[in-house]
Amino acid sequence: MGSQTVTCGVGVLFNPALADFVTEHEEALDYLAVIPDRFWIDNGTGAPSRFEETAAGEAVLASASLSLPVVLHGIGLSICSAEMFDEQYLLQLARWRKRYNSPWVSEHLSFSRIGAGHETNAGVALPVPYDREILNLLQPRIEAARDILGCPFLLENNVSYFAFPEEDLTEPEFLNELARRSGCHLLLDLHNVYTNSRNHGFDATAFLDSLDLSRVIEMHVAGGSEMMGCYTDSHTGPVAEPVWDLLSYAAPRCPNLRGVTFEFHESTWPLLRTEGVLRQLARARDVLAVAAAAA
Amino acid sequence: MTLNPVFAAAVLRKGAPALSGYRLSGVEAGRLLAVVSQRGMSVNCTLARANRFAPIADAFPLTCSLLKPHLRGLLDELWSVHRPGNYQLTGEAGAFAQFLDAKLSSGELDVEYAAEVFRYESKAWDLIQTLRSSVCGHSAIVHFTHDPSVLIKCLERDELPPAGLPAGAFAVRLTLNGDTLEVDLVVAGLQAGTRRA
Repeated sequence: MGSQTVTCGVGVLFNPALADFVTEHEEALDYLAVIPDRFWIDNGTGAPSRFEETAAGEAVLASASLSLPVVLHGIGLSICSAEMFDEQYLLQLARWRKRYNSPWVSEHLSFSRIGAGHETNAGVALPVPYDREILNLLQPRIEAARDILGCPFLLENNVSYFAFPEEDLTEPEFLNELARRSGCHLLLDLHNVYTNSRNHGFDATAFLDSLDLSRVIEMHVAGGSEMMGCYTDSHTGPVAEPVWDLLSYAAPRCPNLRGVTFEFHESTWPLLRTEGVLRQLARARDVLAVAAAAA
Repeated sequence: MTLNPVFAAAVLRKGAPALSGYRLSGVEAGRLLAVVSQRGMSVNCTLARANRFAPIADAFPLTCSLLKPHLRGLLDELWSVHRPGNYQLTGEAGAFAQFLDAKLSSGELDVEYAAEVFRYESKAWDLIQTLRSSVCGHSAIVHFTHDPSVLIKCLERDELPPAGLPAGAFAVRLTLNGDTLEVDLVVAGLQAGTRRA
């Protein structure tokens, strides 16, 4: 099992295209970020054996974990669903955190599971309005998550392709208040910030200035693409150039930052291949080195 | 509205009356009406459809390629009644398979080669599901009435196979070894008088 310690390094979000890369280029990584849901089938809340783990898929992960810390990035909690809070799912995350000795666990500040039966899925991660009512809903859930997981629990700022009118708070105000009240940390997805800033016309740097960056433990960097007049968080190929600028700006301002994770969709592996992934990791490492020197 | 673009369009067209079946506060209704008119709503609908289609295309790529002119209508019909029941979208490929099987069996969908290509991919998909329990070495025989090497080769290149291929008795053996699916032609015979020059 890898060390639990990540001082401040670079990682990649694992996908099947990276199976060989992880084995052959371990030295390029300080940790491996993993979506644990890729390694199990969730048979649903009422199923007798709810989480069916896929042993074949997990072999790569088990091998990598011998030398690299593994951080977990869940996709199934749907913590903002109004009508349910899935403690069974959190217990499964906790089992995996214990198995891999993960230094932190992250999830998304969004919902995809809808309806009183909890088992209809929207097919995408949907944003919630930044209202005090949502803060009140989330606070006890996050506190429960922290207790169950027994490690820092990070929530990722969401990407949103539409804007709700009449919200109580701005997004940075909401995130700051959420972190202060619940004790959660932030996974600051810089590509989400960039995507939202392009689609909704705000200044991404000003957004970062408004955020309590001391809560940030991990950052995501990625690329995107245009679709139907919007810029989307499609994780296409290399990191978008303006996201590197945001990383350079934010990294020296995040005193508790422990990792910068490059994420891409496996279907865009041909745009990257091994050399491309190595370039993204090296560039992220360079940014962190400059940030460390400036600190 | 994300899952149901027809409903989203109705809300956009009719406004508040389209939401009358839901118990919404004034703020909630106002927000939905504001959101549905933004271009991002269409993006969300498209992303949800793309995400639902991904496991189907992954399981049945050749079938989807063959059915391309019909695919949108088929998916609209399926998704008008079937909702994803799982955040991993694990039921989407199975629902599509069941739906398509019924369409093909009843003759409601009649596309040359579709039945045999779909049968082939269904068997392959069934075998791949055994990876879930790490069972290796499983195999299955799939029968074709047209030369599978031609059908598969064309569809793998995303090209339609030539129309009117001669009929015959063909079979392939699918074998799952570890995470590799091997395909072997085990029977190849054209019916008398149908062999091409």
